[in-house]
Amino acid sequence: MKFFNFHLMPYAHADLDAIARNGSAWVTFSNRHYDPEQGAELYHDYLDQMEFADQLGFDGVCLNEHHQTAYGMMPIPGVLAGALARSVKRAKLAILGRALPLVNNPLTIAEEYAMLDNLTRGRLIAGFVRGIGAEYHAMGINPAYSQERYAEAHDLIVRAWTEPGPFAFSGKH
Amino acid sequence: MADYSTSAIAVRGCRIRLMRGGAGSPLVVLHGASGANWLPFMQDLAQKFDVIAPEHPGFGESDTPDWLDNIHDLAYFYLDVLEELKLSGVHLVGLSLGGWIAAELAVRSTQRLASLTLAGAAGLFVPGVEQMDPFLRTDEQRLRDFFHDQSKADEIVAHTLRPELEDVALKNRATVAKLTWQPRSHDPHLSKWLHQIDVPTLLIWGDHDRMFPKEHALAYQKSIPAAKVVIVPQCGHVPQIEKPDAFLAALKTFLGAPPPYPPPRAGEGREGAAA
Repeated sequence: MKFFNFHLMPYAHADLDAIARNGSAWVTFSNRHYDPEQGAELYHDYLDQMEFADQLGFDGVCLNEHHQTAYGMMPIPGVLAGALARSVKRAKLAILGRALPLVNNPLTIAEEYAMLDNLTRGRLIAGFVRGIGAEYHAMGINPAYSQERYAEAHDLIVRAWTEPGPFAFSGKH
Repeated sequence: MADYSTSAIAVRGCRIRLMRGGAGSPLVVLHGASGANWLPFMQDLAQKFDVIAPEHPGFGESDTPDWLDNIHDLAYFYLDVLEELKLSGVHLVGLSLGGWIAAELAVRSTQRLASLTLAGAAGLFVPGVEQMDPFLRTDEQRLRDFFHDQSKADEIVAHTLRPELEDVALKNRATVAKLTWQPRSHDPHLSKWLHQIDVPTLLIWGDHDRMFPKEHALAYQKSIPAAKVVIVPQCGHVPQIEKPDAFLAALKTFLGAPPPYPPPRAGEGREGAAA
């Protein structure tokens, strides 16, 4: 059995009354409710906790991706993984995951993960997800194409990692 | 009053449901995002016209073909349908989403059209004009957004939101998302080519349309040479349902005596927005 420490990095100072008034902490919840100074403190607290998990002996630490929501402050988990790549010495770094359909060129994810794989000397666990409905509102991507876009992005990324390049790729999306 | 019958036709391998009633010149109605219904105004028009109301691919009982990706696919598909049914001199009426399909079709070819009518049509983006976002509303809110008079909405909500209709509503919803999610309910390239529409065109809009406010009618009018606008007072997004008498009166006047084409040259009194 393995033990991983999974952090969702919520914006802990979110005004719960404002969320209740708005009806949601997602999509329509305004960025004016975010205080960047408090946010900066939270990022460092959360990264400290993940480094501490490494010291305590967790097998890995996990990050994920959500957009424009008080629920989580990790729209780009790779930035945080980069910050942890050298300070988390032993544990694996898992990103669970990047939402493949949300990007217009999946090679950005292939590159990001490849860099993290190198930086961590192979301690990266590369997760792929489709994301939940709210992400498709936040990022203006058509959810009706979510599965098609996921499959196409997945195939391109795997090819980019495994085939000697360069190679030609023609996709619908 | 003339009645209608329902059949299924296959056009290039895509099976769709078709409602048809009456006799006379063909009048094709393209439905909106809520789905295909035989509406009272169609029943009325069937006294003088051969009213043909297809259910779009991806909706209700019609097939969802693999080729259906965007609004242009439906525009081309309906050109095939007109050909398959050997229709010419067609009065094409498009409601909301169906108005967008009709405009895209007419940009591609008016060969089989006698006239074009758009009501509360999607298709254009008008900078600075606020629109309700149907994808951020509940099913009931979305229906209510269509109406200016909420007492009319009560009836439609009770009639529409029934458990036995859920499967069809979900299918329609998925297709609407596919067609309209991004860019939201418009094609940024459409306005470049609307000038190619060379048949008499009527734009019927509710003056309180919150989905596609009347500025959208004016934007269509600006680009379509022979377009006349009728704004229906005290009316929301669906004049054909909320103000059927005013809707029918405008449509019948237009169909009875469509304005001449080509339109008068600038300064010769082309009709503008009328209240």
